[in-house]
Amino acid sequence: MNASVGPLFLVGLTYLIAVIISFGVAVIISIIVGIINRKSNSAAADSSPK
Amino acid sequence: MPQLDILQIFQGIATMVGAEPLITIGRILLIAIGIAFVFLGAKGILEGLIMIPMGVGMAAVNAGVLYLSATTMGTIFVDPMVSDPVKLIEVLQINFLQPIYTFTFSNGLIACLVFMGIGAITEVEYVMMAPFKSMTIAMFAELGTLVTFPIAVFAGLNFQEAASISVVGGADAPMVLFTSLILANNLFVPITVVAYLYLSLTYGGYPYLIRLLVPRRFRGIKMEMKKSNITAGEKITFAIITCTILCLLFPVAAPLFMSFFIGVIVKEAGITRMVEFLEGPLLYGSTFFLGLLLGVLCEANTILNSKVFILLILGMLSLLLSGIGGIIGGYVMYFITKGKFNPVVGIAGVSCIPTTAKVAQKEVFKVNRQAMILPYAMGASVSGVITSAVIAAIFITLFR
Repeated sequence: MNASVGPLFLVGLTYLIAVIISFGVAVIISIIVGIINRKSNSAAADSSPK
Repeated sequence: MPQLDILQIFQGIATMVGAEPLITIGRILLIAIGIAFVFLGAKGILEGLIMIPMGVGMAAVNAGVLYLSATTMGTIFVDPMVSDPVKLIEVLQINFLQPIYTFTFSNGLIACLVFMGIGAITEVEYVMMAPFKSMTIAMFAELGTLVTFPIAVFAGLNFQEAASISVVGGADAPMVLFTSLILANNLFVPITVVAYLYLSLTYGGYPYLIRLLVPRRFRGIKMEMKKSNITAGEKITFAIITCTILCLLFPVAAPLFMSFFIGVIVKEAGITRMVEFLEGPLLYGSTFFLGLLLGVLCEANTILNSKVFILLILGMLSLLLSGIGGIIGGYVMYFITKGKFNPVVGIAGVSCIPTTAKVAQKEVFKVNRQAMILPYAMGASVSGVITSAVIAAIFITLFR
C-alpha cells in the first residue's frame, strides 16, 4: 500500500467502486427482467388470434 | 501425609486469586456480562439466537480457567493463539471446541455457512421489482461504514483494523467476521462480538431513530404496490450472473458471494429438501456454534485489549450513521418520486435481514394501518447485503 494514500482517498475510491458495481447490478436486473418480459410479450403476441 | 491446598481442588477460584488483578477483574466482569446476555436474550431484549449461546460461553470460559501446568493458566475450551502445527494437533485432542474453531472459524467457513442460510431465506424478487431505488437506498445506508473508516484511522487504528470495525456499519455480522478474520486477526473476537451485540440492539434502537428523524406525517405515507411478475427463472438468471461477475471482480470475497447466491439459487430452483436443510439445521446450527465460539473466545486473557473501548465506540457510531444515512436515502427517494416514497424504507437499507425491514414496517403500521412498505423495505435490505459485501470485498482487496 502506498503510504502517501490517505484514508479519505481510500474511502472515496471504495465508495465510487461500490456505487458503480451496485448500479451495475441494478442494470443487470433491468436487462434480465426486460429481456425475459419482452420475450414473453412477443410469445403472447404470436399466440394471439389473427 | 501430603499437604493439601484447598484451592488446588477449586482451580477456577485458585486461578482467579493467582492471576494479575486486571485479569481477575476482567474475568469477573465478563462472567457478569455473559450472565446478563443470557437473561437479556431470554427476555428478547437482545437477539436470543446468538446472545444466549454467547453468554453461556462467556460465563463458562471465564469461570473455567485452570492450571495447565505449574505456571500456565488456560482453559480446555479453545486456544485461538496456537499456530505451531504440532501444538495444534495436541490441542485439537484436548480442547473440546478446538476442532470447530480450527476447521470452521479461522478460515471463515462459519460465516459462509451462515450466508448460505441467509441466501436461502432471502427473497430477491423485492430488489428485482425496484432495483435502482433499492440500490440507491443501500448506498446511502453505507454512510456509517464510510465515515467510520477515516475516523478509526485518525483514532489510531491501522487500515486493516479500521476497515474491519467500519464494516459493522453494513450490519451484516457474518461479513464482519469474514473481513476481520482476514484483515485484523488479532482483533476479530472483539470486533465480531461488538458487531453481534450492536446488531441485537438494532431492533430496540432503530425505532427511536426513525421516530426522531421521520415526522409522523411522512411515516404514514402509503406506497403504490405493483403486482410482481418476476419468475423463478429470472431470479436464478440474476443470481448466477451477479455471483459470477462479483467473484470475477473480487476473488478474495468469492466464498461469501458464492455462499449467498447458492442459497438464493437453490431456493428459486425449488429444491425443497436442500432449502429446508440450508434455512433450518445449517443456518441455526452455524449460528449456535458461532455464538458459542464467540462466547468462549471472550476469555479475559484473549479479549482484554487496549483497543476494545475504541472498538465499542466506533461500532456504535458506524451503525448509528448507517441508520441515519439510510433515512437520508429514504428522503432522497421521497423527493425524487415527488412524495410517493415513504422515507422510513431507508432504514431497511442497513441490511441486517430481515430485522430492519420488519422494524420499518412496524413503525409505519403504528401511524397508518393501511401503509404497506415491506416489499420495498425487503428490496432495500437485500440490496444492503449486496452493497455491504461489495464494500467488504473492496476493503479486503485493498488492505489484505
